[in-house]
Amino acid sequence: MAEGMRVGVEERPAEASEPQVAEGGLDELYARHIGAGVRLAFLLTGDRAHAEDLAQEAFVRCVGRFRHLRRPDAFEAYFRRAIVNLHTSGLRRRRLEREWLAREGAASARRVSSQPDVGAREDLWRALDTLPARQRAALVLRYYEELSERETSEVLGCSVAAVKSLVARGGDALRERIRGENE
Amino acid sequence: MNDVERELRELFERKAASVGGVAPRPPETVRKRGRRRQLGTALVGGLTVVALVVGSVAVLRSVDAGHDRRTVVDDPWAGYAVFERTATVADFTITSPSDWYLVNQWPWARMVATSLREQRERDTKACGEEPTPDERQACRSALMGVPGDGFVTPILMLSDTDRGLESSPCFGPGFSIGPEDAVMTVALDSAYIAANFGAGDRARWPVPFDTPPAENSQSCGPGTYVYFAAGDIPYVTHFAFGDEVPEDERQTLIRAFEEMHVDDSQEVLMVEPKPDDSATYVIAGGENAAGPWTLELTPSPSDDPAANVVLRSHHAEGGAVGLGDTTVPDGMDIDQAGGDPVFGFVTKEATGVEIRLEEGAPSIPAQIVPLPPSLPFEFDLFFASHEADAPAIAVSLDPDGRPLDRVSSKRCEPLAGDRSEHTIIPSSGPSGSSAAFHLAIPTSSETGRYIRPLGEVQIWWNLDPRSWSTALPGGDEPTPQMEGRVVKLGSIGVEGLCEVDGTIVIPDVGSGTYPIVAILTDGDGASLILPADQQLMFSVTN
Repeated sequence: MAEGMRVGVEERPAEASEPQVAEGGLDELYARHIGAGVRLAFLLTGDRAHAEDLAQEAFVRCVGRFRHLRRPDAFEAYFRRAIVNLHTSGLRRRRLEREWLAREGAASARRVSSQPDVGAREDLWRALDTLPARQRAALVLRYYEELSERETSEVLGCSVAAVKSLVARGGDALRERIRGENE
Repeated sequence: MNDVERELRELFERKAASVGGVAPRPPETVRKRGRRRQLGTALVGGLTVVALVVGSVAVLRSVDAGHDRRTVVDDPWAGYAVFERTATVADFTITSPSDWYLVNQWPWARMVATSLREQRERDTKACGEEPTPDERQACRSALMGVPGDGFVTPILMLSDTDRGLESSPCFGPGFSIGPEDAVMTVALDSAYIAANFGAGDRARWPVPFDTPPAENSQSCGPGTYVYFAAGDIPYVTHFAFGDEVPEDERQTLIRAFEEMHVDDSQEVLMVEPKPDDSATYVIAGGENAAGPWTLELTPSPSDDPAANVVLRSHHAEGGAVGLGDTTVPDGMDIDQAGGDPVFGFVTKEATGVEIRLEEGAPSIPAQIVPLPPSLPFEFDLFFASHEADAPAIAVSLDPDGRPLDRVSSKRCEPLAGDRSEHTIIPSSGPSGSSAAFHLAIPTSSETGRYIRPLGEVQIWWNLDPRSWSTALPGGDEPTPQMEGRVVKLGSIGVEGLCEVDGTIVIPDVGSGTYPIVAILTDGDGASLILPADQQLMFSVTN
């Protein structure tokens, strides 16, 4: 079956007006998950405002498809995956968005710097900005979310071997860049 | 835990903490959009056949204006064997000559379509939280687009010239047709679905090329339109012919269309983007026990200046094996992945590639395919289908049909599911004959932790594996296992590589069985790749 084309009874909700998340449930779901979502998005983007937009967008999408989730109790996992996918696929979309925004005369996407940082690892934080999105995501999922390689591969939609490779290459690149800055 | 890993953990913790508090109540816009998405899902779910594709042709065309990337070059297939390619793209199985360019545009078009849909949803004011029946109808119309706005979603494009990946007559006025060009686009007729909630009374596939054109006939600009449905999904096919298209090329395109197989089992259709939303060149296709497979090519998404392309075989069940950013021809002459098909990259110096299976099995000639002109890198692609469940080694050949006398290797990315056996094929023969070997580079520490390969692998003939260290610099003379000399056959850097393939020429030695010993060396030391009692062995039969 082609991607994006799905067949089956489970794709047909019974009633048009059937609620998926109770009115109060949406607020509760948001309160429970949005903080972690923004923190994850911040580590992926390095931009507080963008992180909040990303997490909210992912939340809207997950809530919209709530009843289609195979395991609604695993909302957190779907939410995390949506954030990562929105971030990595968003890189390609940005070209389109830029053109659209330019045409509409809208302001460019907000870009504010993160809070001032202290300590010796600011160079590492800057170096993270130079990594490809999927390498950065793999590092964040492994070392911040503490996901296993298998879980990380599920979030990123790739093989375990690819995760190993992303993490190894990301780590190597960071080492290389920090070494370059220090020399 | 290494230094960077530890520092990253601490950094991430600290940075995450710096985010501070997040308002626990959703902003009103989030609440409304969340409710509206739920409503939208329910509305469309209640329909038998639904496509959520909305957008404006005007918006879309302005987004993609100027993306005509037609590449005019001398025949890139000159000197290459053209074959008949049958490949499945979405629900279409299409046969065409391999020197025509078949592009799977479905992932890309789906991304564009949903981007526009989301914008439309943001603009929609009709979806309140508790809509009346009238409001619900208005909301549904808004969510599903404006009937008759001409929006179609390209699925595949077949053309006699390379037009690049993100170029479509249905997606922008920048698309132009040269006098000798022939282009066919098969698209989902999204506007028709939005207006009719399904295929309506559209003619069911198969339909001939001369089916009278029907409604919204300007979706993809000037050209010939053929409308049809398969299952409950309406499609449109657009043909654009230049004024001087040779008749045989015109007929090639029409034949490809009329002989398509279309899966008519689809009932519910939703258009959603996936993370991997690039269009791809479809290089080859086939079918094995697991169902149809396709071999697809894209530019590399990597930011690395050395990045080039990614080649993946996709299987019907959703699996994929990929190989990308090759160093052929700079560091290697051939780079392989996959099982069925075996595929990869090969230096342009090679005039052939053959797939060697286990001892006694005849080798399989592989097909060599030039890169599309829009991806101007200095190597070729190859593939071969083989259903034998056995290790296979791809060997590059010179004009005389002999292996190119170089060692090659393979990157670590496609490690999962790939072979890791150590092989030499054949394992016997006379002096002067050649043999292909395959070695897996150790990538795990004693604790199972992944270690990135570093250093180089040395290949030694007739070295006594129990005294292998005599081959290291500063040692005594290398100790032979069999009577006769020890020969260093070659060495290759393996940084970042997980497998090594190569060919060797058997030295001029007496009959007997000799070890072929592989030693991994890096800055910290050296080790045997295989245990001393499990070396590759070759029997010389003079």
